[in-house]
Amino acid sequence: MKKEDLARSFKVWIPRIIAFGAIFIFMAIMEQSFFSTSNFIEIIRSVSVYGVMSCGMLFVVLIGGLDLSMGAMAGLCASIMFVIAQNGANSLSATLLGFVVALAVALAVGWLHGFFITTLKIPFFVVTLATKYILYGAIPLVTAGKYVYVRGGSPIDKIGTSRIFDTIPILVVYFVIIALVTWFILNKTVFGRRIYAIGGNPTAAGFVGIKVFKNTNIAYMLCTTAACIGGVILAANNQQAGTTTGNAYEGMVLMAMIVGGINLAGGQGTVSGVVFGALIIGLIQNLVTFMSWGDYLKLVQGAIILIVVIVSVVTHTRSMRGKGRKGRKLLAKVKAEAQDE
Amino acid sequence: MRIKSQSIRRLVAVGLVLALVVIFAITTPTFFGARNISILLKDSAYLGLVACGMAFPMIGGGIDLSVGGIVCAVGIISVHLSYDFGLSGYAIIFIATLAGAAFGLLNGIIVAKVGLTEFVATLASGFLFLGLGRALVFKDAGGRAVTRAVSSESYLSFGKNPLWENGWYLITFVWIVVAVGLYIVLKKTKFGLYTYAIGSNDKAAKMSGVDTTKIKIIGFIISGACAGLAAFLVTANLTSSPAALGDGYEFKAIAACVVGGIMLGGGKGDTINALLGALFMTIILNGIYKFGLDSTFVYIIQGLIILLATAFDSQFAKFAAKRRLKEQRLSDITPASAS
Amino acid sequence: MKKGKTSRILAVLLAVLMVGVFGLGMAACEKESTDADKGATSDEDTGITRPDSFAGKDILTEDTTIWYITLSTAGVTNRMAKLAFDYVIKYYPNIKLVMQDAQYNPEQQVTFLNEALTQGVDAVMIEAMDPGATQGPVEALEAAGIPVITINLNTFATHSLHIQGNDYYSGKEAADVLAAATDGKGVAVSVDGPQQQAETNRMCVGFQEQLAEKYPGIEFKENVYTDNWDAAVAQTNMATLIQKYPDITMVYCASDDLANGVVSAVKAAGKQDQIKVYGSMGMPDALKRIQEGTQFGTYFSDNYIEMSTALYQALYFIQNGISMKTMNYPATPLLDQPTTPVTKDNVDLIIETSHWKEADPDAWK
Repeated sequence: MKKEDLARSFKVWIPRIIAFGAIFIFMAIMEQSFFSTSNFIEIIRSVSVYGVMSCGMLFVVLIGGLDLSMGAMAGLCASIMFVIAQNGANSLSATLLGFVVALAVALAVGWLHGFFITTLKIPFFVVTLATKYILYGAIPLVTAGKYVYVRGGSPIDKIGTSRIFDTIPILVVYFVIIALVTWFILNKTVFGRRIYAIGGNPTAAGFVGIKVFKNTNIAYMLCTTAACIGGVILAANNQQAGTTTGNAYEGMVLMAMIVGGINLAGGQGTVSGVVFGALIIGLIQNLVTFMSWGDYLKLVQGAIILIVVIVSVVTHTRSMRGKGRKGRKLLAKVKAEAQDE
Repeated sequence: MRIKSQSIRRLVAVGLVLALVVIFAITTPTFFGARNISILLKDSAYLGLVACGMAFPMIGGGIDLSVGGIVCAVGIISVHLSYDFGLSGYAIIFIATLAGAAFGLLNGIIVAKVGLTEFVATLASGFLFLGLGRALVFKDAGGRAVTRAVSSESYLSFGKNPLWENGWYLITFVWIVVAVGLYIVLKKTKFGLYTYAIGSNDKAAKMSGVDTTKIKIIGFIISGACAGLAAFLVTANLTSSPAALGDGYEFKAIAACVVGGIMLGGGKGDTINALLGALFMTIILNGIYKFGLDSTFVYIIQGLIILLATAFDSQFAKFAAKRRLKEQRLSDITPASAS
Repeated sequence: MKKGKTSRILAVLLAVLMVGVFGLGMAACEKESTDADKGATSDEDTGITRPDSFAGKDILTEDTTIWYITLSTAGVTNRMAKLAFDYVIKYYPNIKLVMQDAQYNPEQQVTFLNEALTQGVDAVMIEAMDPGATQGPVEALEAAGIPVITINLNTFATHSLHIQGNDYYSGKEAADVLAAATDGKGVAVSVDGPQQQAETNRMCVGFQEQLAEKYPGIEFKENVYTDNWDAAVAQTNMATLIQKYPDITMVYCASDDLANGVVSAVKAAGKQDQIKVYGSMGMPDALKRIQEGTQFGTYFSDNYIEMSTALYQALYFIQNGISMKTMNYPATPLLDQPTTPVTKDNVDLIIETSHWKEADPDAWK
């Protein structure tokens, strides 16, 4: 059983590993300076913010939703925290207070998302698009239309730019911690299993006694929490917060999710997929800059993503059937089933 | 006697649009002017066209997130055709629609034949189309992106100038014709019937012999063609093709469809719903601008109105459903009273 | 009421007259192309020296609305704009200034321009993101007698005034300053804004052309675009560039936000001594970084003066009824904003004399 699972998941991973390897080999041939520890660390650092936000989005996607307001949420939380910290002369206590307030706002918005979606039955698309507008509009109210800066040496600066052993950027550490926590919640807690159950079939989950409303609310709150953390570390790394902080990051998050093999219709997806997806996105960005293909960044991204996604689905449906080719009819049947889910 | 639930939803959507129009017409002096109405109808036409196309995948139980990318790519291709090859606008409008349809076909194939879920497939292909558009922008000798203005009269006749003084634009009529045409396709053809069947219950439709693959592909083709048409009209209005074209169209179009009464998950609604939804979304913005607020507040109010309107809609639908259930029960008990 | 009506009719008549005279002058101009300059000065007599004859608006007593359509309210110049505008309009209680946030979306800007015409605002100031897309609406506004002032980013339409902080020459200036500091030797890259704005942002072009022209000792490697003016993206790109060209000695950035990200990347690579980072705009954080020594320089374009000039010009245009409808300029009048290179030598002076301390008092804490 365990062995079969491993083999199956390996087959699903093949296209991603191939994509990863292909880019690697290509880079190795083209650019010698690609292979250096500092470059690899930089790639991971550059995707840490997306990675953290993707981990939060994973909860929402697993229950069959989406949060389009993530970027605006990140910007608002960062702005709130920076403004409070600045008014408190950048002391540690003011910074902490700022983070707590930002987190409280994030949780409140997450709860409201859940409330609108489950209780009032408004589709998640509309809810999160509307809150995106509202949160984006609220940022200039918080910052009085300015950028909020922090100076070097302040606690926020340490949050964003310190390095462990002078080599590993602290953003990477946050990414790893958030990914581990997400993995733990999804795999080792009852809540995680319920999330998968709801995403797989909400009606059935309701019948077996899972409180769909409550768990949906929690998922959305976890998502906004991740947006808050992502926004704060992004702003702390740039040492400034304002309307552009996190602007349109939800697009990158979605990109990372689909490359990572997460089914946006809900029910399927793992943390390792998210991490891997984020890394591929970072690697593509790195590749494009290395090769001076800046004009074609989006094209290269789009092409690689589409190929990876198509190939992974084809191998997935094949691995679902076991081995070999068994004729078209069976494949079609499996596909239809996969689509129904 | 009993009104169908779909008609109730339609009435609610019309009511929301009318309510907004009345509110804005009373509170602001310029909203109900001939010029504003024509601009309003022009602005809602792009979103409306995309939404009308989007209605097909959505009614079929899917979604099309690639329309933003299609608008970007086709818009830039259209301007190239006019600027580089000097084609007339009437030729380009067909080519643009066909190019959009081709992109839609690609979507359809990777969804229905390869077996990706709509969400993932169209999001990924959307990135590809967007990249294609960005790669095709005009460049100067040094390789830097530049803007080229369209000067062809036939091209600009679609978007830049109104048909008569302070009057409507050709875009608006194209939009209405497309919406009504697609409405007829949905309601009067076998294809339309099958689309609803797939949206309501994919498996059942398949078992009763519907070629779901084909229907889905045609749905995506219609969606892509509408986006291509919209792209041409957007560039005709802007008279150029900025690389940021089509940004966020997909989510706005979906929101317009949902506000208009097309359900995510399929089986309900039609293109008139999409038309009303797009009108609603545009009226909100157009009306709020009239108050002369800083755009910060405009974004906040826009979000709040969308939330309130959909909340009202959903609560109303729930209420109507309950009431219908009650009536049904009553009529079950006393069959004679049912009329 | 009646008085207003007659004056309006008078205005229209005069406007028609002006246009006619101007048109005749233009025709004469075209015939004698060698005497173009002379023709222009005689045109000036008919137009600008008789402002009384234009039917303007009394901005002290009548309600006046001016729109400022930005690229994005998050844009760096906006903070200063707000301060400058507040300072100007406090003497005119009837003036309402509305900031419109286009979120880097040209379509949104077109919507705003159409909206401005519908509502009949009195003047529009805009940073035009797409010169082609804004052309039609700006022409329509000007034809309706509403003056349009473009700030920094121009449009294809001929309109009342374009004020620019001279991107192109500031790029050239940066090349001069950097070359002087490195004895004309080294390896350079430039970090540009979004690809979509390549046409209107000419800083990096100026930098590259000046290097190619004057400093053969400096090898220019590459220009990279940055989506959304995002400092985080600039940081990622710069880190990759450092990997790719380990011997970089100078970086030119199209804004100080980008310079922020670039400085972080340089710091992370431990190459502060090797790489000189030069920004643009002279934002407070950049001035701070120059004081600290992490950023080599930037150019200071006094946005305060630029924005208040734009607004004063708008008021002047409104008061005197000046727009394309009345003036019929053959080309857009241009106002170049001087720029000053800032390095560690003069940064303290710049901080003292700029308006940043008022615009953003918190930034100096």
